[in-house]
Amino acid sequence: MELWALRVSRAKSSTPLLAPLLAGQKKSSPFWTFEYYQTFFDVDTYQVFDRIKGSLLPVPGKNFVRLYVRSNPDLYGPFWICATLVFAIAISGNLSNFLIHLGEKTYHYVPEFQKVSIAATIIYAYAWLVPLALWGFLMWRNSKVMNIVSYSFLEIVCVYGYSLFIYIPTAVLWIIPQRVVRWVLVMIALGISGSVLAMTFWPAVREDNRRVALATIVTIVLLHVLLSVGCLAYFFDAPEMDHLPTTTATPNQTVAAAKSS
Amino acid sequence: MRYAACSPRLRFRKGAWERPGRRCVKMAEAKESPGEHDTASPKPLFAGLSDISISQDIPIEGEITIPVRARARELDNSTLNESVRHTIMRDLKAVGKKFMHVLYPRKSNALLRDWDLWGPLILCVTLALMLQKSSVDGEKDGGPQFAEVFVVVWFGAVIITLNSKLLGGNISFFQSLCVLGYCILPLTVAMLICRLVLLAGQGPINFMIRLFVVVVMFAWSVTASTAFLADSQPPNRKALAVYPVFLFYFVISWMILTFTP
Repeated sequence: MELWALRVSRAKSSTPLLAPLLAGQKKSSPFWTFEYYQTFFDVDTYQVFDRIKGSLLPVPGKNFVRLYVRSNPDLYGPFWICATLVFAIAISGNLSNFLIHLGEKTYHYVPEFQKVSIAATIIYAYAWLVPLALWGFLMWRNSKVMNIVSYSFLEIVCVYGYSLFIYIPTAVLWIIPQRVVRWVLVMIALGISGSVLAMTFWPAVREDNRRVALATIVTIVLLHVLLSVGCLAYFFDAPEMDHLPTTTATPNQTVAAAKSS
Repeated sequence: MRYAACSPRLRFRKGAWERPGRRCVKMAEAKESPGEHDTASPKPLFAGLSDISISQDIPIEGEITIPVRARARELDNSTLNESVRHTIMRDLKAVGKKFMHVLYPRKSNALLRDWDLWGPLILCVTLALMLQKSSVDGEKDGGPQFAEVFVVVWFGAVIITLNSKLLGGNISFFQSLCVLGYCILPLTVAMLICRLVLLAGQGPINFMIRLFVVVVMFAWSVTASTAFLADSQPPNRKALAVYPVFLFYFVISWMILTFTP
């Protein structure tokens, strides 16, 4: 309980509602001024690139937050990576459906613009609500067990946002209408981003009860799996493996039939 | 010396968050000085566009007053007595002049100095009218509705402006909206061309032509808006501010390319 009180007292300039969420940040302006929000965008180009690189190449033993974020969490990365991912998934899904149904006579191409709003809801809910829940859970465990490492809400949002970056090239490559290729891509993306998340949060739950720690990490990874598999299943139609050979075989057969007659 | 219209009824004061406007006389005296970029510093990003972008020492704020050709002896010139046609033509000429600045970007800050939102409104409505689905019998066409295009354009422009201001750019809110709105002009032209090309029937060659036109116009839009906006950002964050503009025009280009009547 002392840790909670310490965090609340440090954030003097925020209202009581916002204080627990944003405690520990180096904010000096009140929350209704523009400068307050500018402190969340205090990153340079090379810093954003470094953080993206860190999320793509997880090094065992190195913590993403301690190494790259280092008490300067930004909202630029999470916001724009999520926006790019929303459009990448919607556009790639549309393209891949178009390519799969290319030869069919009964297929009428529609841009499916409504899927953009669905994708936006899913991705932004994942990128903001799951960190909120995780942060609440970690705060609760912190009150029971004294953890050496603890993260602020914005740092968790930052980690989740940057860990979603790997899905952008994955979504573009999902256009390839081969089932095996898609699942291999899912495995690779899950491996990379899952390991970033697991390595970040393992130090935060390490001192806890063994079961609770393992359950937390497993839940984090499972939610990640759910997101990627769900997006693949919903936005991308299943490719039929025997679709392409039949369309190429039929003209040959008709030509052969015409020659023989 | 040319006096701009200084009568109180005509001047529109911008919002409190912007710097106080200059006096009318100073605006009449201001000349477009050639942009001087210091050569001592290392070559900044987008330096190749320096000859068509504004310089740092021209204050980037403007008045919304359309300069009326006032007679020097008569300070109380009101535009109430002029004919309606004269008023409309004056505004249309101002909008048309800015269209020319977008289509042939050269060293001039007319877009920023005399910003207005008429041009973006005309362009957005034209684009949304052409993009909305043509079937009126309630059948789910999948294309964007009029309101969806409108929201995407304006909401997107507002988000990009907020992003650029949060990153520390010193451009005003409405100036940025004005630039982003006017730079949709090449994509509107692309939409017109695509509609004309689609009248000739659909097919792969048809699609290739449309793809080429849309890609060229997309590059034009991004170049034009970058030329106007990149200068207002701190040098180490230019890429961070320009990427959302790229994403914005990419989404609009996608909507234009996938339009099927």
